[in-house]
Amino acid sequence: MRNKPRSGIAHLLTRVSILMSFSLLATSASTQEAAEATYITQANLHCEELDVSVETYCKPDERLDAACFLQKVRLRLTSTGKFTEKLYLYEDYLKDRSLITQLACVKGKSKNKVVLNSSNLGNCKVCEWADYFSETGVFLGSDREKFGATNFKPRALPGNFYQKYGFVLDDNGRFTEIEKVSVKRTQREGK
Amino acid sequence: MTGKPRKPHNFSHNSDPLTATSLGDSRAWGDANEHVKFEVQKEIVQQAGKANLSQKDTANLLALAEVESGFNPDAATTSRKSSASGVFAITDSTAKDTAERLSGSKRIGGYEVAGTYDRFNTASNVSYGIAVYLDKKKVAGSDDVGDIYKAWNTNPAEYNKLLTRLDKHATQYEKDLTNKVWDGPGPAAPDKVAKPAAGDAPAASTGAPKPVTETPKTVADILSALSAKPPAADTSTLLGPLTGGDSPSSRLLNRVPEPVKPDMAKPPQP
Repeated sequence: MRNKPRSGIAHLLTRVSILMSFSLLATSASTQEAAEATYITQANLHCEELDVSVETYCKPDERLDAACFLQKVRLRLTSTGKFTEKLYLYEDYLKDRSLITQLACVKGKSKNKVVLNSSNLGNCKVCEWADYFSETGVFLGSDREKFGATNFKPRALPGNFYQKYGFVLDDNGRFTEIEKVSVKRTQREGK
Repeated sequence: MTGKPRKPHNFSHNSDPLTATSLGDSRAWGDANEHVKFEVQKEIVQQAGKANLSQKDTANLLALAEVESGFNPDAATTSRKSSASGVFAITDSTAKDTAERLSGSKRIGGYEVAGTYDRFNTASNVSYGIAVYLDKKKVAGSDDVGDIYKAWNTNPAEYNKLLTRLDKHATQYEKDLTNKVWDGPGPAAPDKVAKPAAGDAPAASTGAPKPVTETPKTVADILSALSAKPPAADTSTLLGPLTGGDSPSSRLLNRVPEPVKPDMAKPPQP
């Protein structure tokens, strides 16, 4: 009689452990599925001594075609191999649903600069903005109004920003693009 | 070039000069003559028809174009932070995304955008506008113009002001489509556009009534002159069948400009 409760507890524990194992297996499988579904696109640009790469992490999405949630920007100095990395998160709750959509090398007074253009692909006044980097990959500022999840401190642009950092603008206030590369969000067909 | 303080990097196309082929009178919202506006509406209706869009979708597109540009194909926001321009005020990045993502096998509902994006070209902007619309409709998961506009504009500060207006416009345009308003000739082109050069064919494509400026020579001419509407000088009379309260042109003539796009009405920044 004394053993009965013990065996009952043991039985219950066994059942629980089996259930937990199944649950863990299922979680592991779904994590694996999610990892498999996620794909990465890459865009590269060379500007002065900088190699700039943007890795975009996305998942196929029925409604959006591609639900991209993270971008990793790497700015690597070719002469030394030193690099900095910056993360851009596409987050609804931060109201900064933006993705880098174009990398550009633009004309500078002495050296060309890097501009990362971003858009949330809507048609509004705060839908487009740009982050500015020096020829050595130093973050100079951003003209976005809302700052979301990035791992670097945003800086509002001072009035003399472009003059101070040697950006050359034409009469219409636009950059002269030396080279530009688009960031793809969808998976390449056939993959 | 670099000696004076700079304003922020300019996304805006408001200072892009008008060209010889520009149809609008400026880059301001709604600043085009009634003939141009009618032709823009007609282009939307025709392209939507070719794309086999429903009447509701077509009405939604007309409502969107109305709030975005007031049917001025050369409209562009003065906000230096936005490249929104053309009939549907499409930003450059959205146009680029549309061209890259919504073509080939990725196109929505079989709709393919027409070639390279040309922001101030009516046909091109309308084509891209339709593709963007279909994409945003997919995102919204609804055919309600307000829901679609939330995905289209993405800035609550802007779209919240427009939802009621959009809904009213869409409802009215559905009635206009039922009444086949765009099957009619529409307002005549202004003199400078309508007057053909000597030896040229008359501007028959506009469907504009023939102004009674010449002396009728034959019985047919006299009958034609009698049935013709008065000359273009009197616009309200000229519009004749379109001046009823149920036509888009009457609304265009009597409308107060959309209040939420003031930046399109401001003069270009230096």
